[in-house]
Amino acid sequence: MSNQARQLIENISDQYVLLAADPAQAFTAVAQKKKKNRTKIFAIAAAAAAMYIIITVSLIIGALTPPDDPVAPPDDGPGAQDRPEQPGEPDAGPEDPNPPDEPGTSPNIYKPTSDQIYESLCASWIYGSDKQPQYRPTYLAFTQAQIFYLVNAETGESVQGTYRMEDNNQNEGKITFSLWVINERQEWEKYPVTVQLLFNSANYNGHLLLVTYEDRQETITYWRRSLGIENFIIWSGYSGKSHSVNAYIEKIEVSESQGYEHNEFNFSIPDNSIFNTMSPIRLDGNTVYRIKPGSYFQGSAVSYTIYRADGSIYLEGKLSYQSNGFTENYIPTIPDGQTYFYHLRYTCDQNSTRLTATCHAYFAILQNKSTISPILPQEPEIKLPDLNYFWQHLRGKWYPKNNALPFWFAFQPDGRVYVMNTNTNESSIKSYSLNDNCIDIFSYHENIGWQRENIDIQLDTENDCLNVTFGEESRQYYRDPSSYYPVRIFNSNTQAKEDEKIYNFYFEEIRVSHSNSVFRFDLPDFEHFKQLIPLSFTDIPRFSISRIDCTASYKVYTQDGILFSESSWNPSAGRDAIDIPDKYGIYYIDITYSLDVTSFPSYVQSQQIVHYYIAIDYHEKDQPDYVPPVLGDNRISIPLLDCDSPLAHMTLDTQNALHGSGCASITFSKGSPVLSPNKLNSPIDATGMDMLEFDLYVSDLSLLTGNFFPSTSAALEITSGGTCDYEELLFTWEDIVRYGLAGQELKQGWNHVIFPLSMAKENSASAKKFDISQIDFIRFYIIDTSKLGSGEYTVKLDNICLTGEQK
Amino acid sequence: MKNDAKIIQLLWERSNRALEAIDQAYGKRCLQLANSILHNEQDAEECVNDAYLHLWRTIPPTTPQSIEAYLFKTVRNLSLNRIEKNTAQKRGGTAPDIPLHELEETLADLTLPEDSVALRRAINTFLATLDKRDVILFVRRYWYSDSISDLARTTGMKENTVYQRLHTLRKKLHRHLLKGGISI
Repeated sequence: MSNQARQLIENISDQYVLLAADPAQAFTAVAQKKKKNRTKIFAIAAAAAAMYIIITVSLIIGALTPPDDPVAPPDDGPGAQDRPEQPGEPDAGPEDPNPPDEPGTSPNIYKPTSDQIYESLCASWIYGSDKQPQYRPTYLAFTQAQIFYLVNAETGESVQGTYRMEDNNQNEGKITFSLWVINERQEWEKYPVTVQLLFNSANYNGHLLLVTYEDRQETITYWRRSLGIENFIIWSGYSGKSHSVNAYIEKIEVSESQGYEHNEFNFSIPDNSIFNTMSPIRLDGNTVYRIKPGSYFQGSAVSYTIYRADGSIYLEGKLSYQSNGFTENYIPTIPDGQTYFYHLRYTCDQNSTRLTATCHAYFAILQNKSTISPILPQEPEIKLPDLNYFWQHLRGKWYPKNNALPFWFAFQPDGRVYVMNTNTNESSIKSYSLNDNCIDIFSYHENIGWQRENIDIQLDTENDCLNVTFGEESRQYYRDPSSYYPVRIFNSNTQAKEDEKIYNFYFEEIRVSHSNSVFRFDLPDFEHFKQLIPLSFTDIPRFSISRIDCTASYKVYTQDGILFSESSWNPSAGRDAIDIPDKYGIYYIDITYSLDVTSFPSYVQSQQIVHYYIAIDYHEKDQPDYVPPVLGDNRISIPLLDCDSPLAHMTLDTQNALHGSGCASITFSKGSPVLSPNKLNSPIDATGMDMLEFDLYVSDLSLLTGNFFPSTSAALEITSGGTCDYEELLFTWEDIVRYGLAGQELKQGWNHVIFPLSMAKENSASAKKFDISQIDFIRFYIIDTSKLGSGEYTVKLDNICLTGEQK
Repeated sequence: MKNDAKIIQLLWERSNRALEAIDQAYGKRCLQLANSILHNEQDAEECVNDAYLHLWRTIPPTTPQSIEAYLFKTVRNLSLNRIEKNTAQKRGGTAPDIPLHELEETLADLTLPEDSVALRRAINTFLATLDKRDVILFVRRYWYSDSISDLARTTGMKENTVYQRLHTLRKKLHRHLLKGGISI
């Protein structure tokens, strides 16, 4: 047999061995994955806003050399498995291999992912090495809540603070972290200790820590405690969610007899001051907890004590593992409302190593308190490109060649950037800063603050690409050809450029059809919505959204997830507006574009459906008292309709008139058309007038959405033919809403309408045209009331005039 | 993973039920693996039992990340050792035809490093360049020693196609090893 071949194949990593373990299942999975890939599903999974702080860390129960024994753990001891050069058993005992290295890395460098870095770091570390005989009673512990502890086990003194990654130099296999503490002036300052996590050997796998005490100019090695790995799970009876937590190892004692017998160990309960240095676990809003040791502890007995914040014992008991698993070993529920400290004692019988160890783990459940809020020393300075530069160079969505890195980016002109992890299909909203074409990405972490992401991006404007470096990998990123078009949101009243906001929208999901079949799109839940783009339109009364070259449909949801309205339009035929009343707070708009992308080589076969989500944060303003506008000195007005006296088909409202003694009031409901013709007593000559002005009251804001009464289904008309439809000038409701309220705050109640006659529609059942010098008929009508909800609606008109410059 | 945790727990408790649990979870596939290599049911059963014993002896203190992978590797190593032993005893008898022989030709003009880290890197970086289907095909053939007919059945490909595909993969491996600095 070929020894070379056997040696080579023996080194295939577990990952691939397990991948192929079940051939039928594996090949089926591949086939499904390929099918799935063809459909190009890229999903947003909103994750950023810390729905729950999930802290996943391992509690390491490690063997410790006795204080006066300078020797490292015995070679055959349980701790030996994490040490370098662990002898294996070549015949039958395969050593645990590492994940496969990526191509292109230099030899002997283990290249961890970001998660693996923190997974490796977040543990309890102990001083000790057979090369460093001086014993130091110091422990280091890192939590994924970005807290570190440095403890002197002899004196009980401890330091806590936060840490951050300073230098991820994976080429040298070292990842450097700095430590920060709050000084007496309550400011963050760098603690004179630097920590390097070593990944420089496949056998180390991040299980060595070089700790440099800068004041002593001394570097010593810490070992990760490795007797066993324990996950503690706190389970909320209220939300049903579990939280894995990093329990802090307060102390470990090992028998002086090296464990030949099951000795008893003395262990003193730490006082409150020590408790206070421990990792707090904050679970706001939950009511009860249950704590379950994780499934990897193999101790023979576990006892626990739960203390109140004052140190008194709340509960104590003992757990014995069942042979059928661990699920019944929850520690009883803990009621809400207090701070608890949890003390867990393990007695571990390690027969094979003749070592008996007791491990004590503490963690505190801190309810509704936030005593530790580490933040970074300073917030990042954000520099953004101007809009022209943005649309020229940063628009669209960026993806890596061959998907070599698992990140996609979509930059926004306002400084946000969406980063999607294509491995997990999760996306998050971060900030970016562009400085000399270098892009820094920052993310905000609760309790920590802004943190620069460990990813370097260089904008190459000449080649229209991004050079992205993550760890050792450097890749070029290209713009997704289907993400060129911006979505515009603009003030449909003014059409003013300064009111227009242009967003480079992140594709929530893209599906490419091969069969032109029906696409299903699930509405994300509210938690998901909260991750979406909040657009504040405090100063803009209405907005419209347009995009060219595609057909589109939209659904507008209120923040409670209820469908508010839906429609479709063809943006290539012109701008269309989605009018959102300022009534329900935040809206979420799901816009679906059907986009023919046959011209794009990469999506040749299909129609593409793109879904956008836009959240519109619409703040309702207090409506000020309505004051009718006063015409300027150089304008005259000609009353068309005397609203101060009873009119046919209209009710005279004498209580709420803006002018004179009354106004015309029309109340209507679904299924009841409104027709209110009024023949004037004598014709009015309004020659020279160029505007129609009146005060308009609406009882419900929904009436003022642009297409609520589409086309000519509702209008105010004036004629010179003595009746309706003859020699007519038509002011449709849709036009009034769109153009007549220009520059005003759209609101429920009174509004002032100024409508240019030149924009009105002319219409006549006869050959004769509208004659402005012979106006003798006016009518307000609503003939399509199908969109009305239940209940009554009221429209009031007052002071209907034609106005113009005084001659 | 759930099974693994339970098995590890039972092993640490030194419970006899550990071996039952292992056999229940992985016994069938272990036997299949050993049989693929040995083509002898009795030998295969013995190798699987030896593998169980090895687990019993090594856990604790070892805590493998994956019991499944650990067990399969053990079964495979023991099976290959058994083949070598049987062949040596026959003194001139022919060794059974195992897929690893196909790789001999590929590796004939290469000298692989003795350093296990470099070897691991070489083979795993090669697999990382393949698509999943090819990875599974390669690993099933040369790690699990699946026959061509078995692979054809599970993949739905023709036997000839499987053979051609494996030939291509071996050539790719050769190129990869050359490119990676493995000396001729």
